[in-house]
Amino acid sequence: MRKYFNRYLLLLVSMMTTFLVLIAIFNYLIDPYWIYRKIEIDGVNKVKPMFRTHISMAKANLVNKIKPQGLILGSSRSGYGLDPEHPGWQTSPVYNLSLPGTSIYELMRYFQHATAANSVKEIVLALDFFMFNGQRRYKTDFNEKRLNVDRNNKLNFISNVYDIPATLFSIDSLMASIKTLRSQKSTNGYLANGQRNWSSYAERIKKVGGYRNMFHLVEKEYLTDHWWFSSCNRYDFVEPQTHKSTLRYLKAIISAAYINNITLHIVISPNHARFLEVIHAAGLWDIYEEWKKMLVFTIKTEANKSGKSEFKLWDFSGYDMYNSEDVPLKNENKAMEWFWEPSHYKAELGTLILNRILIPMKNSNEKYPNYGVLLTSQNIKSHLEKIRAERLIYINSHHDDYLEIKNLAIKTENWRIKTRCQQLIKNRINN
Amino acid sequence: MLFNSYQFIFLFLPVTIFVFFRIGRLGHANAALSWLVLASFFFYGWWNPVYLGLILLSIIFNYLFGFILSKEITQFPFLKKSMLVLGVAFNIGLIGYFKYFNFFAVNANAYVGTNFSVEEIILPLAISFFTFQQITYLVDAYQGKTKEYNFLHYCLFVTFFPQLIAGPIVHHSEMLPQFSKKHIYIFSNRNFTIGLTIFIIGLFKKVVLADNVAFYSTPIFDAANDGLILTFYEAWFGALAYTFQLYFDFSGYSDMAIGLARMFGILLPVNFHSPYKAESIIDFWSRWHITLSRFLRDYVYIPMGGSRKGVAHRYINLMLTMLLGGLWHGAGWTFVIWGGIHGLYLVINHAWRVITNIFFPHDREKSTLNTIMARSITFFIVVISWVIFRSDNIDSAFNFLSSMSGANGIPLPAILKNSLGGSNFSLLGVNFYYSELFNRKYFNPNAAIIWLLGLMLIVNFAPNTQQIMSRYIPALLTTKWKADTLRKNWLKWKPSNVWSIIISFLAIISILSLTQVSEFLYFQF
Repeated sequence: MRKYFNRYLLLLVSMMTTFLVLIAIFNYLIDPYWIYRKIEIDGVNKVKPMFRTHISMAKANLVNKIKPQGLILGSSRSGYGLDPEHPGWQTSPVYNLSLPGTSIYELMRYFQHATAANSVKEIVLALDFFMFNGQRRYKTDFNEKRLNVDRNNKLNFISNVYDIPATLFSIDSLMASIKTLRSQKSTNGYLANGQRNWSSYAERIKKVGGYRNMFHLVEKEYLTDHWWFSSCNRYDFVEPQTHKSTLRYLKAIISAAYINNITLHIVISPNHARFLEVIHAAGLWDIYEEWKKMLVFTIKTEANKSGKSEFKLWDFSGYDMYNSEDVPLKNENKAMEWFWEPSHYKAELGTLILNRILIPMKNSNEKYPNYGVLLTSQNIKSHLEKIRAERLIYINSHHDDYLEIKNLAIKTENWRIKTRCQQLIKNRINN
Repeated sequence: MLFNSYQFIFLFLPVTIFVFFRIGRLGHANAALSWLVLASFFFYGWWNPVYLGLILLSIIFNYLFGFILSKEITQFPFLKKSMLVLGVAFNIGLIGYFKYFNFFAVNANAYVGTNFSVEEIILPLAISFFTFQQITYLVDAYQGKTKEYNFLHYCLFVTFFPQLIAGPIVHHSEMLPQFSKKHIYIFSNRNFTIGLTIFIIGLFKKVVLADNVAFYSTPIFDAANDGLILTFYEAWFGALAYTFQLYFDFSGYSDMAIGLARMFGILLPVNFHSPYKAESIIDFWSRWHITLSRFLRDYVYIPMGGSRKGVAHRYINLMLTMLLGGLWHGAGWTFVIWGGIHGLYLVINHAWRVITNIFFPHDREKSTLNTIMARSITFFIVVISWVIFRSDNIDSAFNFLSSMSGANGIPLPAILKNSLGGSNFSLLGVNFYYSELFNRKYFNPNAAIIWLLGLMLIVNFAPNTQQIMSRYIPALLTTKWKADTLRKNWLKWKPSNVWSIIISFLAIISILSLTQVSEFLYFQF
């Protein structure tokens, strides 16, 4: 009988070892998440369809491999729009560390992660209003354990090996490898420098039936989800768990930048004029203005604290010739020049932004006059007033756009109250 | 440390086993046991070393009290009784402070107007398990049912890592004698193989079945706890998924414990016996978390008077026992209510038995239809109770159940619109309307259906671990289920090549499922 038990055990152990080792080697070579980067063969594993669904993991690992000196930090807006290979960069290599749908907390953690192990010198920090919503939940693939430091900047010794078991020895990776093998005819969602590959966006817009439809989809998404998330509580800087404001994460980034001698260019991302209308229709205009004021204030206080000059804060979100670009009518077969939809600008506009902030004034000023406004505590009040005035001009000249968004806001509000929320939140829609 | 972690499977377990048998082979039984106790403390302290002191204090205190209680001091019965009361009070006090103080404080502050300060108390791991096991020891020492045990054996009885954090709740009378047997110190290929096989089956149940079906329950319960209103289908999918998740999670964990102990030649009591095959709620409780039911019966229900004081008393005792059993699972009203409705279920079940015995005293034959009905009704009411068990608070449990009942309407797919007349309608007070069946995209409904159906088949028709392993006496307390012996011999495990291949595939899939690569679902931008 003993003999049978021995044979059983031997077979069991050898089966397990053989299969597990083979699977690990397979996953390592196919490298579906693009983090080992050992071998890339055309038609076998060159295209990585699983990279874009595992951005937080992949980019965290890649930063440690690439060791960039310059970074672009932001959401998918800067992910699409800002080019790490723009000639204005003073450092190299530059990596676009933007994370889709991110929050200011996650940005702070990726800032800490990237600066802890590398000598980062220059960062473009592209901020969006939605990032500062304290109601926001962290992304499902965000994980502190893979970052080089914890939130108090204490070294995390397992960060470099943390993802190894999951990326080599898991069903998910095995499936991802197989999927990679089978989708070599598509294109990569990201460029090697971390920027989003925008070439597929035109396809998507075609698929949904043109630019105006794409605008509708995104506007609806913001009105139903992004400013509320699954709870019915609307946008608030204060986090419900900690009762503290999310502005403190921006403070932490700025003060760490001063300590580590990193140049920060802080940018409020551009958005289409219709996007501002969505903010307005959602009843968030006041808090949106408040947000800009707080950015100015935070940057100033941190500069005073460190005794150094203020980092520049550029606002590209106001009304100008770019973001007031007309949206093609329904079924009108025409492409837009600067925007994919209200929230994502095209790389061409990104180039103008980088021209403005990376290249000294006189070179860029002549060709693209007055793009973006440098915000200071002196001009913030008049700046906000100016935008308010320009808004009135815009909605009077684009009455159809205005009404379209207004109706969408009312519809989504009714839908949310009916299907999602038990407590009525009244007076959300301003007139 | 969790059984389903790399550290446990690839480091802790091999080292513990190797050193134990190495020492054991040299004939140092006590040294080997000490090693096992040390390893168990390490296992416990991995989570939070601060509470090592607590469990140690609890062990020393209870051992001393048990030691004194088992001595012949019967000439002072009052003294002896006081010792017992003090000892039990110590245990209840410990668990009361760590597990229930905040619950008590919050409710007292809210309803009585007291002003207890509520601070976060971290619940020491396994405190519910090791306190209960030691209370049984004290009570039995008092009643003179225990022999005198040595301290090392006693330590191992409490801390033995396979059963330490999630049971089965072992009884001293079944564990301590096993530690004195000589054969456990010699490595046995046979025990190791059987243990490993049971462990792998349990691991598979936990990390493959339970963890995967959790994808369909967790987002639904999270949404309900956030105050969202679920659609009829969402609620049912979530409730069923949780019903399976909990079973495979807990019974998988119990299997792993039984398998691990077996690697050391120790038999643990069986904890689950296909509970969803139960044909009544009484039957259910003899199959679900068996060692807890046993504890509640022997140390709560029977001491309270059990069924000896008449029908009314019996039902009251039953209710109280189940309410306490509910509270044992966690400090919250949802657990109390969960215990309460199970108490009610049991009372109804017992009353029903009395009534049917009066009217149909000889009608013992059960038809297939009878069995199907009985099993379905039992399953249904158990599902209802799990919703309460899993909800964060009573409000969200209520909302969840109203969605399940159709009180929030039942959506119909738009394709039926034309054939059914085209407008929303109401039937028996339930509103039917045309809309998305699933309000938010929590998961892929087709995948959910496959998982739920598959697991439904498993819990209803597949043999359980004890049945599969029945040739080799996998656990204690299995004799009760002799009638359930598998008729088909090929379903019974034996150390053959075929079984080795089957089990190695379960093991490979389980190890590949120990971690997941989490995906970001909002990836279109």
